Amino acid sequence: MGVQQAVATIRDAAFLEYGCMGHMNYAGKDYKERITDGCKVYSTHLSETDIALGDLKRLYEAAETVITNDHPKALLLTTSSVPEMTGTDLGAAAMELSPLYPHTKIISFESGGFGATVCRGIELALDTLARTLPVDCGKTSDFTYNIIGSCYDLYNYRADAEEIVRMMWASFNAKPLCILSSDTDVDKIERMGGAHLNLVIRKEGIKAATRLQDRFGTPMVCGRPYGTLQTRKWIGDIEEAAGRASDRASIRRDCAEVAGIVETARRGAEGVPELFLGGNADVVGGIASFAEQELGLKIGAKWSDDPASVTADIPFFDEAKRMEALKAEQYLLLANTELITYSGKDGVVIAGTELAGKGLNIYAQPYVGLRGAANLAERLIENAAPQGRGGGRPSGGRPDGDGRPNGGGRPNGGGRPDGGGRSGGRSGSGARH
Amino acid sequence: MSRMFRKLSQVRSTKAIPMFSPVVSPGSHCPMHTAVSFGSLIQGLSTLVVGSAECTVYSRGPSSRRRGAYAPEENVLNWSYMLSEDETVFGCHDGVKAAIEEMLDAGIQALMVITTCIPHMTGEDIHGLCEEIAVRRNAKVFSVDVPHYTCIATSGGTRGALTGLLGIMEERPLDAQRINVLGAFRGAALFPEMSDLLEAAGYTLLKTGTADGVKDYITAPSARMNLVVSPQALDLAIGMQERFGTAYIDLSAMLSYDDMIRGFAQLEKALGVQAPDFSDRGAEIIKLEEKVLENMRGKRFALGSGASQTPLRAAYYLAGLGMIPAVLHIDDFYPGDEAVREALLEDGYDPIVAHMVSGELDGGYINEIGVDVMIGGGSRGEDESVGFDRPIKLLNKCLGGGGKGNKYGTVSV
Repeated sequence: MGVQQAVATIRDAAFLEYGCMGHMNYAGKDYKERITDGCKVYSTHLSETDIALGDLKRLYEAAETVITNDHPKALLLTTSSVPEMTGTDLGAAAMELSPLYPHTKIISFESGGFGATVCRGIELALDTLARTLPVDCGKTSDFTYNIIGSCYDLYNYRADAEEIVRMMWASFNAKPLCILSSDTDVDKIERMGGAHLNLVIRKEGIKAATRLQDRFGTPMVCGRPYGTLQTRKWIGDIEEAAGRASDRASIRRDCAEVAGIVETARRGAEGVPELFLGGNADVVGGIASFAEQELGLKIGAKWSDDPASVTADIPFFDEAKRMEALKAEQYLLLANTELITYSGKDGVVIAGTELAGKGLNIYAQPYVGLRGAANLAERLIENAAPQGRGGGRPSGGRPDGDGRPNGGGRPNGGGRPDGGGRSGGRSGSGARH
Repeated sequence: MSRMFRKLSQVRSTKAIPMFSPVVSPGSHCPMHTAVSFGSLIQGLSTLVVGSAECTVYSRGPSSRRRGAYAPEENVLNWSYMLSEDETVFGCHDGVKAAIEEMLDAGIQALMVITTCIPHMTGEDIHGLCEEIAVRRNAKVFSVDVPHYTCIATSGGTRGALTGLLGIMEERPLDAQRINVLGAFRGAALFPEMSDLLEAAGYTLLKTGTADGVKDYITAPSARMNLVVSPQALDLAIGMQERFGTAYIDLSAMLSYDDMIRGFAQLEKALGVQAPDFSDRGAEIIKLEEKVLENMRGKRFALGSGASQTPLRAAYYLAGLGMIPAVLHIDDFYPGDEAVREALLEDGYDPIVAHMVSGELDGGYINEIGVDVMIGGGSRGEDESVGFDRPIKLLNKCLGGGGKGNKYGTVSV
């Protein structure tokens, strides 16, 4: 899994899965709930004879129909678990199809086998895009950059990317060439080589950025900055990597403003219980450091919900471990809605795929960067006191359109799975997504 | 024509129904989904989905949206078992067994284990495992095998789940006043005239299909009779007749006024009730039928995925009124459909049959084939409640065919 989260947002492309149609029906529906534009998703469906005979005729017919009707600039192919089992060679199929349709780039995506988690799938997909689509081109005359790793499996992905774009403009007068892949099209990916810098905002993007560095000599800065300290360091890293000075006056002004908010929050943070954080390792690590260093909050437990994305101090927690951790007496839980509801404690939503009607608000406030720091600070201290009211109130990370936070959020009994169900074990809250 | 289609004469089973378009978007439901969705409507029934990562994720929607993933107040668990890489090669028997035992240890009442494509491909005997556990622990555990690649029918999940419920039913003393209404879900319900009649006569109607408890299923064989209102519940009715001797009347097949009067007559005979005079409703239907005969004779029609749960019967009914079935979306073949199929063929009709779930793409092919009226082209299924309103709705749709056209040159109603 994970391929769809990395590619379905690419405009002017078509995404075709060789597999049973149920997957695409649900994946497509979930993604349409949250993505206003992107590529059209198709499925071939499968029957027993396709499997028994290993005949790819169905795939070829489907590709022909999609290309003839939609004229996509790229046809992105992937398989579901059944052809994966039978060992369908999708790469060979893409090679056979390519000469037939010279105006459409046909790219096959490995999903990484049964052991692949969402993060692994995203890493493979981003790397595949960076390997196949970019064309040779010179650097742009202005200072431009790519964001790599903005995918819709992350909560608040859209607002976070927008905050990075805002900060890059305020600090460097720089514009994005390609936001891979939450806000892009085939042309933009093709011209990625023209950027002066690659900003990798999740570790799954490093492989793709390394490839672009090798081919185009584009330096990269890895990091997902939360809070003023991380943001300052991140801007310093950009200055160094790109060899450009930032507009220090502007940054200082912004930082001072946000630092004031954070300081106020720090004073009001007394009584906020220990934080438990679960989700994507980059998100968990960044928010935990911010909360600890700038808000003075205590961190109780941190875990990643994807075994392919862990760090030295953020291990993967399977479901049993998560359930065990949540038995603790008192904590504020930063995780996905379903887990917060299950815990019965107060929480702030920082993870989850925004499925089941979540994420409809495309104008949400970010978590990363300076504006994200103000947003997070407010959400965290909302839960300061009085203690013991419990009740599982996910404090939704989604303010109203007018910027007012939606307070206690809606308790959601029907949240979506939080990822990382124990492989090969029972998985009460679902599995990877 | 750019595409070769399969005709009714070439299709006798669900597995032989081809896709209408060579590629689907959005496509139809996976039967795993409909099984979970149906299971989550039954109070007290827990579910365990065994499958790949995708299956475990996409099953969360129907189970958690309706009831919450944990639903501790009902003592119901909706769990999924995600296969590891090793298990796809070496089997998942032990892991699934441990998961079922763990769920039973947690005190659940009844469990439906839903198996998907990969366990089916690897040949896991989950059915045997469930039977073994059910006997050893005296537990209500049954399995539903719904790999999508062998089962194109969306209804396969509900049908399989309903049939699976037979496994937890118990022989009970006869409750002469109880009548089960089987398959009352997704818009299918018993027609009000019939339920009024039965309730007035003192019968208790248990609508075993939606929002009812697992206990109702366990005790279902105590009923005097089963009334089937959805074809998806026919297998269950037949199974109950074979195993427990519970008689049934299939109301789901009834479309014309004569059918319904026959249904009431059967009921009168079986239960000794006296049906009132419905000739007013009959006159209404007959008037519409005459209108169709007059205005729509010789018109070629297509039945889309939202047209009818029993498209063969609907096609036969409309053919009887002079219309010509050209294209039929068929989701599933149900008991009794074979006879309707034969009757259509004998009358000289051999429409294209297919699984039409691709919206605009399908519309393009419909246009190529050329039909005068497209009925139920939307993806949403119609209210399929059996009763006098059913033919009225269908006939009105045909007559509405003179209305607005669509971009395919046909008329959608």
